[in-house]
Amino acid sequence: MKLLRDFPVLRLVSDAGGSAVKTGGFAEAQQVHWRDAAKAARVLATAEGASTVLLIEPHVAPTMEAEAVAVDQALCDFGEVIRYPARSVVTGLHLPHGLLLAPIKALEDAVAALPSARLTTPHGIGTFTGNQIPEIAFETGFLIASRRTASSPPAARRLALSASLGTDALNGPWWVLGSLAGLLRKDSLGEAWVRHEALLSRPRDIQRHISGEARRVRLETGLPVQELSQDQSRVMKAMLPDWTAEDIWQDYISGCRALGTDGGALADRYEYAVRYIWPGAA
Amino acid sequence: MARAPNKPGVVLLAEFPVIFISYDEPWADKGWQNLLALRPDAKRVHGVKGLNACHQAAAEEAGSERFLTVDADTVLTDAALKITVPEALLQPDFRLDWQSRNIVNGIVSGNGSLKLWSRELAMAMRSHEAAPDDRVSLDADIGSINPGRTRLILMPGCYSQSDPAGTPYHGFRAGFRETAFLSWLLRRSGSTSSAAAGLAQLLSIWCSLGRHGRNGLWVLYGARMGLQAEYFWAGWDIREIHDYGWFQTFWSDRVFPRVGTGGARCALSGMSWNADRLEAEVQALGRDLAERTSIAIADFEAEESRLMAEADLFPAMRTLESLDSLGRAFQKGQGVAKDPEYARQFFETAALLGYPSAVNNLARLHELDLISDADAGIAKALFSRAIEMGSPHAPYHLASMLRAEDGETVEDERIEALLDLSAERGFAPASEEGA
Repeated sequence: MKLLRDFPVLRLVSDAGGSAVKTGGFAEAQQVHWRDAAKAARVLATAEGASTVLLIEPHVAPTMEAEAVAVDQALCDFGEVIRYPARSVVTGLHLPHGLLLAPIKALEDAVAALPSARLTTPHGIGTFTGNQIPEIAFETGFLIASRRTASSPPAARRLALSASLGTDALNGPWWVLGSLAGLLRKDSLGEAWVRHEALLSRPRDIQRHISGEARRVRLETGLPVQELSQDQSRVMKAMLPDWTAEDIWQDYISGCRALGTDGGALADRYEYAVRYIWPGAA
Repeated sequence: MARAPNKPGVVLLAEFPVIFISYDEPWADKGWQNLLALRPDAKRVHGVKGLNACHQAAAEEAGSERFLTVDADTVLTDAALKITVPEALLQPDFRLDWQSRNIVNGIVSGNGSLKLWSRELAMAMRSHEAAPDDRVSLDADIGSINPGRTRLILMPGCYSQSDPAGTPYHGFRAGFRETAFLSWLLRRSGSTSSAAAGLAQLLSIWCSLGRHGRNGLWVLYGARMGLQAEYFWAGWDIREIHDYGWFQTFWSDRVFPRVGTGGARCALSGMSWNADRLEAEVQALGRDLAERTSIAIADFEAEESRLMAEADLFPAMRTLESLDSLGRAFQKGQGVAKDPEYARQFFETAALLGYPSAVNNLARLHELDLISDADAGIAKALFSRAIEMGSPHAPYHLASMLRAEDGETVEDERIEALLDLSAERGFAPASEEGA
């Protein structure tokens, strides 16, 4: 049985301000710029005699417990990139950012510097910041929201929540503004930032802008986003469970079934497990 | 007893008699008709005072070895008719519950759950109003009927919705009873336990969400007052929450006069109230509790409340410890026939969900050759993982495995280190048998 700590690991950093997190799980991991991830991973894999490396995506802080997460053999044999998600410190919701378990072959084939994950597991492994300064928070909120869709009414509410929660966090209002702009899908990131950056010198007006953008999102998309105060955001986040949302589990189960016989057995175990957690899964 | 077609060892829940239990709910007749539409053969128990008494009355009404109960504020889904139950769980010492979703705040819990009883268990129960005077009994206390044998088993899936707020009084009562109970549990759980964190979350939800629902503000009012009662009322006895006579008096003498009549009206009960004063009461309680407790409480507008309550982000309220414990019961034959292969699925599920004890117990199945594909290598790997996860027992068991292996002296230091680790973590059995 392999644990995540058994894989050679790299911590990826980005251009955006601040150094990578150096506490918690995988604290001693070598740092590389995300653009050099594939090359550094190949070098590390060769040095360690490994065929798969673990990449800690930028702004992700794994917990100590993440090191002891078991990796099923079916996943080891998968040959594609697998993601373990992290929870946003701004919204409290799990995001498609975290740890990437990446076979070297998949890194070699990747067009972008960081390959896309084919599967996201339901095991949360730590936290994601991405809110160090207003511009980063805005950009992160925008990019995450602009790539998400909702396939059911509860999923639409979760998407709306992701653009409503966070005003209590550091630069949280900027994250929320960016999320709302991302949901509107009218502007590019740059254009959206230009529309709002003047608020940097008028921070007291941010909440009013959030209200306006939220109203616009409700009208134009039908998503029930809400303008929450700092206290409301804090309290709602306190209600969130540690488990990842049910759709992450169900997508993982479907993805495992596509892996063949061993994947099917893995999917069966997760299908049995998810019924114990998520009421609607039975 | 009808088995599910093409599924050996599995029984259809629909084959068991179902009893509808109501007391004073004005909407009970409608709920009864809903159930009859699904189960024309259903029977009803109405107006029996006391939660222990009404369930024993249900057992008598059913007249069968096993029976289902449906509460008055619960509506089953059509899928409830298709639920199957493993025969291995149909034990006289087990009650099986399928949790219900509260439509006011979205919580999925045992409130209003669909329950499969054994008659033997129901008649042996001494809970709520029937509990001995020296025992505080706030639920059915299934585990205390015959400790080590009787169990409440939370089954996967949710096949019902519960609406406890058909009238302002009932909504208030439901909120008050629940948070008084949860607060009572929280004060006894230890502030750093994971149970405490879960209870605090539930209290936060009960005391903050629900405005969007019918009589939701009354639920919030009751919930906030129940929390306040358990924490701050001098002379408060938690057992009052079972006394519906006390509730009625409390409501009419102390609660409703603070709100008074006004323009808001309940269509079902005909009651009217002053909405502004109710709002002021709810907010005042919220401010008081936010200042004096660590429970996260805030006021939300209706659409804000609905957004969170209907986002399907509240998991079923169950513990991994209960899964692991059920596995141990089947592994060791505690109240059931010994069946390590059946135990395995509970350990595997709890282990997959990150419960260290289950990983240790799964390792023990392999170590002790109790399952068909037992493998010593897998046992060691699982013990190692359980150790990483903080299990106090796994170091001891791995040490025992290593010591039992012939001619391995190089492991002596490692064995001692493992035994020391177990002892540090609170497990140092006197005998070789261990746990």
